[in-house]
Amino acid sequence: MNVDLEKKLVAACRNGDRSAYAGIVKAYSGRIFAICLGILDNTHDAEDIAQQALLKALTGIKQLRDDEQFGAWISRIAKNLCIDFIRKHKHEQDCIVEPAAVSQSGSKEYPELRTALAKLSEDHRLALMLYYFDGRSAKSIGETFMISQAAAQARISRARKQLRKLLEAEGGK
Amino acid sequence: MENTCEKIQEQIPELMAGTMSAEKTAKLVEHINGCSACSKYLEALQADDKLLCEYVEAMQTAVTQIEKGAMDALDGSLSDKGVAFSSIWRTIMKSRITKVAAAAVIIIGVLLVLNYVGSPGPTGVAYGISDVPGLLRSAKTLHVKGSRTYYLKGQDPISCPVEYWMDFEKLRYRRKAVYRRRTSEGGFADDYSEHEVVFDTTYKMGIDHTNKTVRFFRHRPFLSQFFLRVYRDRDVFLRDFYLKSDQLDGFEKTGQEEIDGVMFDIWEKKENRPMQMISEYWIEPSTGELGRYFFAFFYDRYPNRARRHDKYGDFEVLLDEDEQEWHENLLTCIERDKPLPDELFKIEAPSGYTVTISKEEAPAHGGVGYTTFPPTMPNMTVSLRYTLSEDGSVIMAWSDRNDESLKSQAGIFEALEPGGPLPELTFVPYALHPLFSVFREKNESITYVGCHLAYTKKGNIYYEWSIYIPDSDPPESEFKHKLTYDALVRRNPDDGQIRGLGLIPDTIITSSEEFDAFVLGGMAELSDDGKAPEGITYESVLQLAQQIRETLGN
Repeated sequence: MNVDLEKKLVAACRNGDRSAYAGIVKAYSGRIFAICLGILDNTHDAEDIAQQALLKALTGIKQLRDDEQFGAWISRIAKNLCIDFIRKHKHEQDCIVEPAAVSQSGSKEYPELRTALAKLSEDHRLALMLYYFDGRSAKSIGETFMISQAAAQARISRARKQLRKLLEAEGGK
Repeated sequence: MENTCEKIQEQIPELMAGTMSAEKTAKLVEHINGCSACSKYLEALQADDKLLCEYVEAMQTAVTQIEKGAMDALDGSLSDKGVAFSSIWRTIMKSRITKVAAAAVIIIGVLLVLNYVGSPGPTGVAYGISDVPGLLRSAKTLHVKGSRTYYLKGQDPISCPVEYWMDFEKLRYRRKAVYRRRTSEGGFADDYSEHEVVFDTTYKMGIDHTNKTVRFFRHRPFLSQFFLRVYRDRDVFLRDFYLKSDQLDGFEKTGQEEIDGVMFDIWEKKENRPMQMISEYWIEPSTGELGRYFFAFFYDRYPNRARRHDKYGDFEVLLDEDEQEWHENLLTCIERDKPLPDELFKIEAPSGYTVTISKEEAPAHGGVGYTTFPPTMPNMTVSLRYTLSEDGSVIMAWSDRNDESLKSQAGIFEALEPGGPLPELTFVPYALHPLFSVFREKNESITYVGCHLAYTKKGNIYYEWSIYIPDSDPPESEFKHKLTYDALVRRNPDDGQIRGLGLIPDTIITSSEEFDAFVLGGMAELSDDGKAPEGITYESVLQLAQQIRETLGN
């Protein structure tokens, strides 16, 4: 979405415009899900937290001071909710023996990829998820990690290299 | 050829992203077309790309569910505020998080909407503790002011004010601090001393306010950049304040407090293991501004001695029976990205002060963070040391300035291979052992094995750049930030004695950008031609470390 359109939508959201809400939800649900999936490494939890993040951002949109910063702002909300979630469920997670990525439902699809993703560092996994959910753009990585586009591109390169190694080790392609 | 391929392969993801310049693209394509290894790597990455795209495509159902769930809940909120709550509630209750903890989250969410309908109070929590590492590291300037207070059994608390100004863009720094000297008995001496350090990219000025003296050193942009970073990572005050992203676990929002008319969320972490500490940040949720910072550290140096439990508020700590000691750091002023006036960084002696080393006589650094080995190992020096956060490896630049040894060093260095043995100089720091007491308890057997990485030469001094690879699991990331080592040094020829050398890495390298700036920058600084040796990159060093690790049996 271009910056001007996004600014207009964010402004319209402040006035309770339903179509604007829909536009923002549509534009950001993929990115927010990618953040949650990258951090939580579990599809179901990522869905739940992503939905909460969208609600929290849109019901609290009057708190946003700079409309151009909406992307970074909602990314932070999602990250903070994930961290809260991990903290609350830490004990539960400690009891799980199997890696989350292969124990969750839907594991029949892309098992090697999921296992490799689960072994990546959180930063690398999050960068990859953001990159692919955001149409192979480094913009959302930059906003989420608060780093430059060049640094985001470098992070993607390292994450891809690491993923390649892990896939090779899995005996995959 | 291998190095070229490594470099090319590092750039392939960028090539695939289509963000590369036409000229660079053409060069890369030309190489790939004529190189089977690189063209295979490109094909493999293309296959990964396809797989990832398919995976993301398969996840679109989840995204659609999220959109629908969010819109259902928002619809309720738009049509009727009263309905909104039940709609949000219903949506959430349908989800897997229907446990008590989740209910609490939702109640907060409902309160958010209530607040939103009523008055627009500071309820839209956006900035939290997870933002602190990024906010602090992205700041172009930082000004902080506060104090460090020491508590020692049998003595009144000792409070020492501190103030820092750091300009990361113009590479300028100023620190003002009051110190109390420790006596050999472990207590504090009665006399205070007040010091100030100021540097820009040309000079560093040390001011001793107690004795009213000033001395100057020559500086260069690399030194300014390096020391700004070292002070950030190693300064006793700042290293804890500059929270790391892997230290976030355990923080909780414990309340709110109004400071000068602004409401801040208080984020707190209390920890008994591996270290006893309390860390608190006051964060303004809508701007991310920090209103205050508090850190308390409780010493537990001697696990084998008698200790007792003590209460610090509601926090139970274990303190040494004889030497109960802790310190508190408090910052009451934290300003990010505020312009810092040039006046602050003026490199001029205050009037009435005696200049002991003038600008004209000011010495340059004889090798960046120059430290010497103990007197038992004369002429040996360490110039720079880094820890790579990716795998825990340590890089150290060291040299042997013994006149006799210098005569034969050219031949020794030219014969070295990356990943091969270290140069056989008068003394050889062949391995490292971590010194951090808690870590040592857990990993007594870990040894960092030293290998040659590269060498540089400046004047008549050869600098050996060694890499030390842990022979078993590297330390937990949180330890790495405070880890110190004992370098094990043997004489050449070996006399059967192992000598120790305390070693504290200057800084942690977390990315290729930092590697280029600090490691390659350091190599360039310690070279006659001002350049780092060819073929050394972050990726190639990590790869070399991995190869060495494999030979160590990990």
